[in-house]
Amino acid sequence: MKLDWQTYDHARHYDELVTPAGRARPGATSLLAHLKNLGGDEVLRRKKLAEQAIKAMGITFTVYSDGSNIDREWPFDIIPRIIRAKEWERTAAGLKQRLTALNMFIDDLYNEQKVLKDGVVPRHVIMESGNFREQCVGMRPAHGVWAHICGSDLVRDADGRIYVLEDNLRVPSGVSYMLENRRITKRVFPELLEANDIVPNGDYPAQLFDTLASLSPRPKDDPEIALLTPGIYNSAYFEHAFLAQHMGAELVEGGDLVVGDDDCVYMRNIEGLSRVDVIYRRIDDMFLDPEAFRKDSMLGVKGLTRAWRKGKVALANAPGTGVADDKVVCAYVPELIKYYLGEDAIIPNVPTYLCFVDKQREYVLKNLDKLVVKPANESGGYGIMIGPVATKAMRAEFAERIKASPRDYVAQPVVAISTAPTILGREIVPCHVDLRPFSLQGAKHFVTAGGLTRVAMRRGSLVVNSSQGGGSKDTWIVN
Amino acid sequence: MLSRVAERMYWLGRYVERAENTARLLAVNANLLLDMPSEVGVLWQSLVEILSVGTDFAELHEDATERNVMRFLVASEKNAGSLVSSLSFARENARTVREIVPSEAWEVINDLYWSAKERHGEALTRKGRLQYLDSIVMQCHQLAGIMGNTMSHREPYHFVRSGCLLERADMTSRILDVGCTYVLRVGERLAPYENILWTNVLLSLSAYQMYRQSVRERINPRDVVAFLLQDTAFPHAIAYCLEEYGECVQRLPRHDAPLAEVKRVQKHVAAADPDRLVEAGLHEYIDAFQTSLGRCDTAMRKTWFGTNGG
Repeated sequence: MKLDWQTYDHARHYDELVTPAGRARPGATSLLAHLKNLGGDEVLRRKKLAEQAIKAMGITFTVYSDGSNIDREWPFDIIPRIIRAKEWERTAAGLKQRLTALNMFIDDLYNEQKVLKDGVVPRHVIMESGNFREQCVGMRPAHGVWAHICGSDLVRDADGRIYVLEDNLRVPSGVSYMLENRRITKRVFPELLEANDIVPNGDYPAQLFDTLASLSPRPKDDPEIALLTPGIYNSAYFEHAFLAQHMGAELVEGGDLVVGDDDCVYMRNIEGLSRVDVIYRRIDDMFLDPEAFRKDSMLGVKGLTRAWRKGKVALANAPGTGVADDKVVCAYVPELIKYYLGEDAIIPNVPTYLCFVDKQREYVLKNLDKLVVKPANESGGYGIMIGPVATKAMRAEFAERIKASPRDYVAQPVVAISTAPTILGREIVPCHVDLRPFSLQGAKHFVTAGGLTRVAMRRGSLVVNSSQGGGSKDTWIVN
Repeated sequence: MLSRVAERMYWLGRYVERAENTARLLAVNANLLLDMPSEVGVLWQSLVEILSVGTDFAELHEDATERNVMRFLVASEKNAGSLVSSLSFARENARTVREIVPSEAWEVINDLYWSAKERHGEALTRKGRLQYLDSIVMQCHQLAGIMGNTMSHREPYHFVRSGCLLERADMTSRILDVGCTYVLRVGERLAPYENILWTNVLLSLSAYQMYRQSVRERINPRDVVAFLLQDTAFPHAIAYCLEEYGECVQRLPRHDAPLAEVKRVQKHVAAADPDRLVEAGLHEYIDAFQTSLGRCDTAMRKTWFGTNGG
């Protein structure tokens, strides 16, 4: 395998590690020099080592195929992605700012609705969103916080700036892989971790525990915390078990819990029943409680919403947070930050055109060949249209759809997502990467050092999803 | 501790123990093959019977040839009791309680499963067989060591261990049963080989050396039965398993019903007369014994697992 950064071909995109002139970006100098010194064969040997470690540690994700569930080894690229600490500090401050504003927004929506009365966000945007939950109106969770765990998807455009693509406020996953990636890198490149000044990221489970504990309805020292999983066939089951293990929390399934006549939640134990204070739920709203949401849910716990409303148990994230991760709402975040905090957004959004606004729709319809059109709500069921590669017929079809239900669509310019050197077969290829950091909010705030870098492990592909050939990289924040 | 987790720990213990005993049983039979006169060979069919998988086997194969039986018992996915299946169930159970099982133990279980599955071809050749089976037995020991030395000896550990001990008592009884059947079947014609057969029964339970140290006489059926049924110091002897199992149960909350059940079985075992058993054949006695082990399992389900099915 050749390791020549001069001939590394990334001309068309911003590369995270290599400048257009083929030199190392600041922070990546020692990494690139070290890889070159090791030579291609040795780097491939290390790659093999990583694969063996992943298999031995049983780091897996679940995929569905032919009606059966298989857990597959986690695809990992050994070349880390590097971000300088200075840039990260600013990004982390921006994430904290976003989550603070989003939580004030959700709390406002389910209570006074000042933001709607003041006309910052049009009322119909919220009421037509499929994710506004009547069951939550009038509720005041601890610290006024609804979304305690947030995973935001960040991308870097050709201009070198980081933008927010979307916020995941429901049940974001991936953090366990971020932690495992570092563990593997420690096995594969111990000498590099020693030589570089990399901010550790292993603190997350402890921070998550503190965040959850701060929500307990019973102010005592050791609250009983449980992680509610849909079970072993869920694609993120590995992560559920991982987090429960690292927090020392109970990993429970719906059938393990029961809501008593006193509206408290209990676990079925070998000793009998014992009370639960905080539930980190990894089940969607709709499946959480057959009494309040979908009646046919086999995964949830009957009466859970009732217990939550009575303040007998804390749910993280609270039901109803999905109202704020609609793609239309996302476009308003900079204004929400201004409205609630009186500040300018630190991290910009990828520009988003709202099709229900007449002027913006006109622009979208005129420029369909240059834009990406997305359904506002994932449950909308329609796919994404990437204008520059779509057929004429497809563009015409989307134009009709947009005219028919403008609220359901947003459009964004095509982002020239950055790349990072990645080993494909026996070659080093620039592959597209995004970044998912995780932010926490309870009594205090926390943002991970870096996050999960996802990489599209096919030449030219933009799909970073692990079920579709995506992989991940360790992410280094270096001083 | 969650009832569901308790149940999965229990089954984790059972499946690993089952895999270990199956591997040892196959290894010993493969050795026996080399000792027996060729006109007798090894009764491969009886292996299938020991493990109570005769019906499933008959559906797939007409003849109980060495290769058919080995393939079926080591790797067949159609056989829920095959080595690879047992390890796959053990791994699934461990995976559902991954937050409880120490990471080192999980890594061994994971590796056990993968190596048993990927290398199963070795078990089909006479050359590779022993090495393959021995390495499984050794890894099972490693796992028991890790669990015993890195897990706190609290409820989760007691559930693993109780699963392991019940399964072991069950396997020992099966091997004893088949040992006797073997001897009866080969009859007087092979009287010279009886000693070898009983030696193999002991070997398949790793009992040979300990038996030798405890029984100073020439190997004979009566003493082998007495040792494997009633010795309270040898870890694969039934009386030992029951006593230890009782200890585990006693450390768990609300243990009255399961404890009463095991006391009953212990009494039954202590009262057995080895001379008479050898004379009359063990089969009926073992059948009754296995039913009573089944009652221990049921008592656990009712008391702690809150389930009625397996």
